[in-house]
Parts: sequence; structure tokens; C-alpha cells
Amino acid sequence: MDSSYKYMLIGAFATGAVDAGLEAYKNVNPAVAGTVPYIVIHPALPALNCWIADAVTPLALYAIGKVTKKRMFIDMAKGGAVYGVSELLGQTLYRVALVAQGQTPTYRIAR
Amino acid sequence: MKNPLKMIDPTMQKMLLGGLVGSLSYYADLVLAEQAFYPAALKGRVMPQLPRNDELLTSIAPPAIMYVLGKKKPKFKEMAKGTMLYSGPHLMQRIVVNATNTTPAASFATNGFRVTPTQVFQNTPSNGRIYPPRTPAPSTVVSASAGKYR
Repeated sequence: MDSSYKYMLIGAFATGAVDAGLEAYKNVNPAVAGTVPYIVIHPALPALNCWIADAVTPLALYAIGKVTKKRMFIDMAKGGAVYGVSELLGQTLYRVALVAQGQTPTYRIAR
Repeated sequence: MKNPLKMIDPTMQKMLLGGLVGSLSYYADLVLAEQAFYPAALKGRVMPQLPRNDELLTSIAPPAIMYVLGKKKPKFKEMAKGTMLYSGPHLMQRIVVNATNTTPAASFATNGFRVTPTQVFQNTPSNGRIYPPRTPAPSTVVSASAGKYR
């Protein structure tokens, strides 16, 4: 495994960890559901916590890479972007499918 | 206007495409899981803490298939890496979320196909005591020898 891909994998797992952490915090504290960041902007769009995890984390990694001029953070941002973009797009399509079927997805999709 | 996709290098484009393959197969399965013809076995769970069987399958199969395709055709190699970048962290995320989701109140209005872990709750009679699995709860049928029906 080349070092660039290794850092991309670390970045993707870091983004996934932020996503999991935000969801897990809501699960152990159900009272926070409905408060920021666990709110829905639009029923057909992912919740705010998903945007924070999947979009802000890779952007933050990219910003750190630009400021510190370290290539590894840029690679981590790329890995995070692959995870984040795929997750946000997939979840949006799924929510659109639910809305089209007449359901109104609330805070997050249930599985 | 500049095409934003042209600003991304071709390797990254393939990885992004691979990630989308993983994501779309996962969410397409979730849509299919709501249909009546969907096999019930796939909706079950090996353990209550783990994601559903179909979620595990759609998280593991796409990178494995892409990896095999990448061995035969080099153009799938980068896509296989992208699928791994999505499916690996996503599976981790689903396991963490399922392991922490212990309260029935955490389910939402749209969770019609959610499988609740039943091993703990199925033998809980009205007296609130939790009996171990496979132990029958005491009968709550009132005997005919009591009350006005004796």
C-alpha cells in the first residue's frame, strides 16, 4: 500500500469516526435529538450532523494541510472527501426515495 | 463555467466513482428492503449489536467484487480503492451506531423495517422482571377457582 493511499484511508476512517461519534452521542443521550446539530434542514436532505461529519471534517483536514503545508493532511482530506461525498449523495438519494413514497424522514434514516 | 470534475485528477475521479458504487449499492439495498418481496433472512441480525445482515453484505461485497475486477482489469483497481475508502469506514460507523442504539426510544417514525433486538425483551412479563431467554414467563391466566367464575 502506497503512503498516499494509507493517509487517504486514515482520513476516510477519521471522517467515519466523527460521523459515528455524533450518532453515538445522540444514541446515549436521546434528549439531544431535535437540537443542533441533530436537526433536519429538509426532509430530502441529510441531517445537519451528517453535513458536519461528512463535509466539514474533510474541509478541516484540507485547511490544516494548506496551513501546515503537509502533504499527508491533503491526502487525508481526499480520503475523507471520498467517504463524505459518497455518504451524503447516497443518503440524499435514499431520502428522496422515501419522500417520493410518501414518507417523511425525520432526523435521520432508521435502519 | 469550469467543469468542477475536470479540476480533480483522474485517479481521484476513479476513487470517487468507486466510493459512489459502494454508497449507491448500500442505499439501493435499503430501498429494496422496504419492498414486500425482500427476503426476511436478510433483515435479521447475527447479533443485536451488529448491523442487519443485508447491511453487512452490501458493505463487504462491493469492495470485494471491485477488488476481483481490479485484478482482471487495471481500470477497476482505483475504483476498488475508492469503494474500500467508503465501505470500510461506513461499516465501522454502522457497528458503532448499532452498538450504542440500545433504547427503543431511539427509533424514529420512519423505522417501519427496523428489527428490534428481541432476546432481552421477549420474556419480560407485566411484573417488570426480566427472565433469561428460553425461560418461560409465569402464566398470568387467572385460575377458574378464583373470583366470580368459580
